[in-house]
This record gives sequence, C-alpha cells and structure tokens, in this order.
Amino acid sequence: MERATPWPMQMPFDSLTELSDDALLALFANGDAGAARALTLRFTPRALAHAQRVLGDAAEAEDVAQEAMMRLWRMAPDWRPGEAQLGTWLYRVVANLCTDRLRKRRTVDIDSLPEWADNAPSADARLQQQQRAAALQQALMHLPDRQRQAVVLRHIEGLANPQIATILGVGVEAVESLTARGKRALGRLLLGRRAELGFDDDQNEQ
Amino acid sequence: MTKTNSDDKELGLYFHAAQQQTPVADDALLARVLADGLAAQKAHVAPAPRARPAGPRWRQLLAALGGWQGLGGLATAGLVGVWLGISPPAGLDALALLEPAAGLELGPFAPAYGLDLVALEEG
Repeated sequence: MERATPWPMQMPFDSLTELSDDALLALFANGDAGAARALTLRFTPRALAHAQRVLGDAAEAEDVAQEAMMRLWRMAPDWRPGEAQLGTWLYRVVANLCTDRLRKRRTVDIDSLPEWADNAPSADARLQQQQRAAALQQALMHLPDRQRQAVVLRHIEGLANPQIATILGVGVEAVESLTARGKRALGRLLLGRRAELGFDDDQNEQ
Repeated sequence: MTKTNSDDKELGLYFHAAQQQTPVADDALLARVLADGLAAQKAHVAPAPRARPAGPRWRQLLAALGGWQGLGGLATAGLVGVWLGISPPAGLDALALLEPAAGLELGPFAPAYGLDLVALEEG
C-alpha cells in the first residue's frame, strides 16, 4: 500500500506528540486543533484506566473519563505552566469524580469472586493473567474507596507516593498507610484460599 | 516475615496481571472527548462577538446621524428653518434686504457705465 501523503505532511502531528504536557495545553488554549487531538490521546486512556479500576464499571468509567477531560479543556486557558503536573491534576479530578460516584452508589454490588487461576492448571498463561486481573479487580472492590485508589495508583499505575499524596490530597505517610492496609486486605481476599489450606500464620496482622 | 514476602510476591503477580489488562479507551470515547475539546476550544478562542450595526437600514441611518439625540437636534434645526421662513424676526429683514439692495445699487451703475461707453463711442 503506497503512502498517500509524504512524510513531511505528518510532521506536525508527530512533533506534537513529543511536546511536553504544558506546551500542548498552551497550544490547545491558543486554538490548535492538533493539540486537542494529542491531549485526547495522551490523557483519556489514563483517566479511563484509573476510573475503571476504582469504579469497577466500564460505562461509568467512560463517563468519568469524559467529564474529567471536559474539566481539563475548560481549565486550559487558566493553567499555569510549571506549577503542577498535568497528569497529577487529571488523576486528582478522576479520583474525586470516582469518590463522588461511589458515595452516591452507597452499596457496591460485588459478585462472588471468580475461580482462582491456580485452580485451573490447564489454563494457558494468558487466560491465567486474565483471571488474576479479574480476581484482583473483584478484591479491590471490597476495599474502602481511599485504600483502593491508593493501591491502584501505587501498585497498578505505578505512581510514586508523593504524587499519590497530591492526587488524594493527603500526606505521604497517609498514602503509605493506605497502601499497606489495602495490600493486607487484598492478601486476605486473594491469598485466603491458601491460608485455608493450612499455611496461614498472619493472625498477628489483624 | 518469609510469609509476608511470599504474599508480596504473589500479590505482585496479580498487580502485574492487572497492568497487562489495561482498560482500552475505544474510538467512540476518544471521539467524544475530542469533540468536547474542540467545542471548548472554539468557545475559548473565538473573539467576543463584534458590535456590528445590526438591524434594518433606518436604524443604521439613525446611528450615522448620531442616534436619537442627533436626530432630535436635526429636527429642531429643520423646524427653526421653517419657522424663520414663515415668520422672520424683525432684525432678519435688514439682512434679507442686503443682497437685493446690492443688486439694486448695481442697477444705476450699469446704465451709467453703459452711457459712458456710449458717450465715448459717440465722442
């Protein structure tokens, strides 16, 4: 298949994707449609991923991601470059939107945990990965909102504690406490089966 | 402690699995977000609507004449003109007679001048 457009025609878009968050946002605020596109592609997946992991619901997560991005579009002209990380700002918006929704929800509908991957020795590695991810998601839904957000940000999205502290509006020590408690709870939920089989010796952690 | 370490390791497998199962932002969502962005951008960037002369031509003409105040002045001036024409004040008569009087004064000169020329011709 021949290329309809010569390489230089694609330069503007490619160069946009390499720009810093602040530079892209400034371009967007000045009316650059390419910057709108680049920001959409850069930040929507992050907003969606966090929302989906915290809410456990794909449709709701899409609404939150769209709403968070809408706030990003609106605040663009007022953004002060260098004062904060745009990614952190967006995570914070998503985290708060998720918290609002979870409060309105009151009760979280949690299905029974799926079969453990370890109990399906014939399953191939990919299926095992899927089952583990699904089991983790189910277990996450048992955690209190803040613990869940902290664990997701730290251990799945891989953010540093100071950044998580900014996102959740708490101190770094509080983040450490939230993730530690969250992990212990996940351990009980996910690895409990093994404990039932007689390997449990962590009663002192209760 | 070894129990905690092995738990950590095993939990790590779950976290790793979740990292591999990142939710995907589909094209429809991306399109909605981009549409929001472009609309917001339009609202930000679009200049404030210019106060261009809107409305019918008589309103534009009125604006050119200085609005209602300007038109009021113009009407007053027009009425004063009409009134002066109908009933001129006494002082205006002398002024009005100046021009015709000048013409009348010229009257005698012209024949006289003509007569001089005639006299010269005759002389």
